[in-house]
Amino acid sequence: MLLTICTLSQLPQAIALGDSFVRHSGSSTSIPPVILGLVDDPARLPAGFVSPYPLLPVNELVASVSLAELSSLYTPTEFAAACKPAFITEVFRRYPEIDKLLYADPNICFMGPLSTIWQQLEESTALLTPFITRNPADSLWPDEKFFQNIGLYSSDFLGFRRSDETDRLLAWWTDRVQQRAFINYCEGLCLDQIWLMHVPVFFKHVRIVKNPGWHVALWNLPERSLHQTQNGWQVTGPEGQNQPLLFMNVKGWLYPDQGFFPHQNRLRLSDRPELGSLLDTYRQTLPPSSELSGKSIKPAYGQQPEPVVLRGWRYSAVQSFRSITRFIDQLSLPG
Amino acid sequence: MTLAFTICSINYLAQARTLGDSLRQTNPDYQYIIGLVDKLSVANLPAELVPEYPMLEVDKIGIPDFAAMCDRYDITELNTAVKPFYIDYLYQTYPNASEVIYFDPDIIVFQPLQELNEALATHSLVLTPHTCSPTTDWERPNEQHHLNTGIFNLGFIGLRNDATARQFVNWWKDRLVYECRIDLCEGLFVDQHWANFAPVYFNNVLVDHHLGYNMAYWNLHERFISQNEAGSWMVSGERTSQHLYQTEPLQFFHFSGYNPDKPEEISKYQTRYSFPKQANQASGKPVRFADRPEQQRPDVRPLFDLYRSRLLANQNELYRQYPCVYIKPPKIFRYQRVRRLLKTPFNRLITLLESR
Repeated sequence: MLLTICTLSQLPQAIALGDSFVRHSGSSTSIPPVILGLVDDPARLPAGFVSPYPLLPVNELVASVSLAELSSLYTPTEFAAACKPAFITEVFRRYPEIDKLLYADPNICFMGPLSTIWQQLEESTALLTPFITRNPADSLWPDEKFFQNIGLYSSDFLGFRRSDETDRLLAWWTDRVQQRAFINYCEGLCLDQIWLMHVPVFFKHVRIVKNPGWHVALWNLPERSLHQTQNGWQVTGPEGQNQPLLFMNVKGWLYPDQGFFPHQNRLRLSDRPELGSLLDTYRQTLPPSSELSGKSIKPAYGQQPEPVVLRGWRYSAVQSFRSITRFIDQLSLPG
Repeated sequence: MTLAFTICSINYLAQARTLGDSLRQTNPDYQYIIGLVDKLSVANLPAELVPEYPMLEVDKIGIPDFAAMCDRYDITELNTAVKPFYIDYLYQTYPNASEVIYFDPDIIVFQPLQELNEALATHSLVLTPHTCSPTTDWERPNEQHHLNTGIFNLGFIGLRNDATARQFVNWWKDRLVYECRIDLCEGLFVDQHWANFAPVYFNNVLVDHHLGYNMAYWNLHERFISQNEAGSWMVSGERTSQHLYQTEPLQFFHFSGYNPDKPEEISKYQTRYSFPKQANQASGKPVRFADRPEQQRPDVRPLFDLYRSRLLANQNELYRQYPCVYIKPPKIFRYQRVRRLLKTPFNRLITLLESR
């Protein structure tokens, strides 16, 4: 089974993700195959909207009192992160017949057979994918320090197998992120994600998957090359050659302002023409005309404003002003 | 041959000698070296204070542009930044060393490290997590601190002399030339935080969950000490271990932040635990979290008392009087009001540009 978590405006992508999951899961899929966790108000869905997959609104798993409290503390991104482990726990509870559950961000799209993922879960209780698997060895951004700030494992894709160990993991993670899903690097916090740093140490049978065909995304494309073959896309990277592309994440790639790396400068899409056709393939999977497409609906939860992504002269100006204030702070003056 | 080494300045030589003595007793086949971030020519130690272990001064190991590194870093940063440079130097100088093991000077090794030796026969790196299980409260240090400063404690690292470990050491050296600072907002905490990358970049890394490795104030919540009939220190995952088979021999204990002048304090860096005090029990409700009855740790007290007596026997009082030649006066940034005033227009512009 697959679970994703989305707001109303992310629903078209979430549905495309669900479709890609169903397309590649073969006959082994559960009923229902996909659950769409909704961190938004279902009452605001357009009239007549019918979801192809069951919706699980957040107010069915978090009591309204704490919902209001969390909403007032967090930005929409932080709010969704604070609820993620609770969603995963709830899906395991509601569907006692399912044994293996994937979580994927709505920006993910499955591109190849999922049998390898299920196989890995036979031997593990949880699967994690690192953002990068090699030292970038350049002076570009994001640098390694920034990956330390946000956590080295992406929380956009996770795999779980039902077990006592998984229950312990989810109980611990739920407890940590409800109150500590803020993005505050100075305090060692970054959403639900940085907490994953403890997971391979605290819990047994957690596998870190470095296969280059898993979780191809903006942040790891510089270390991976892609080529199209008769059997679909193949990926070569530091940890493997010609691996089938299993799934990719278009966060920050489809919409550059999304995600952690709006100012990344390591990957130049113009140097990688093959990526254009891959992204086109992705766009074609989005629902052609949806009542929700192209609409930017303010999410119902997460009252704090998201940080603004600056571009162009505004960005350069703020960067310069920051370096001036840093200079003023660090200038040694005689006593 | 296995090399074991530590790094310290002269003021910590009592600790380094105590570690060396414990290694000589428990692991006599290890060759032990003290990396010295100090100058013997300046200190001019009297004969009775010269340790019987070989010392390797930091200015003799060929760190490129070492003077600039000394300028950049404070004493903590410098002492940690040189670690991979020492490892690399030992690899080059002792090609027959099949393993190099680093211990912080404030560690005592209690057992032959048989399991570590076996682990290093098959793994390139062995790391120990600060804690193998969740912390039980938000006292210091807790899981959030470890997120900021590193999952693994770099008071210990075991390295095989193989291509993977050398790659790791070279990468680590490169990072520490400029980025061995303490700057949590920027994702930096000396050499330690960088080790988070080890299991991500490299495949042959063992994260060792043995409860007897690197026991210290940061993992007391999951480890309890007892002494068996033969007098060996044993570690258990439970406070009251009725099943002796669940205990493991204590391999090495890390007395981080302990001051023999304050024998009542477990560590200056922690607020979770205390040693039982007569006064507490008499004076009603405890004020500090650490003084609550359930937070008292009589089980580890004998280890600390043992450590204290060994430090005193190893002339701690004399060594600590030697100032490190690399220590600099702390940087003081004067005229804070003027600085704030100068920054105001820029900060206002930033706020304006960042508003919607």
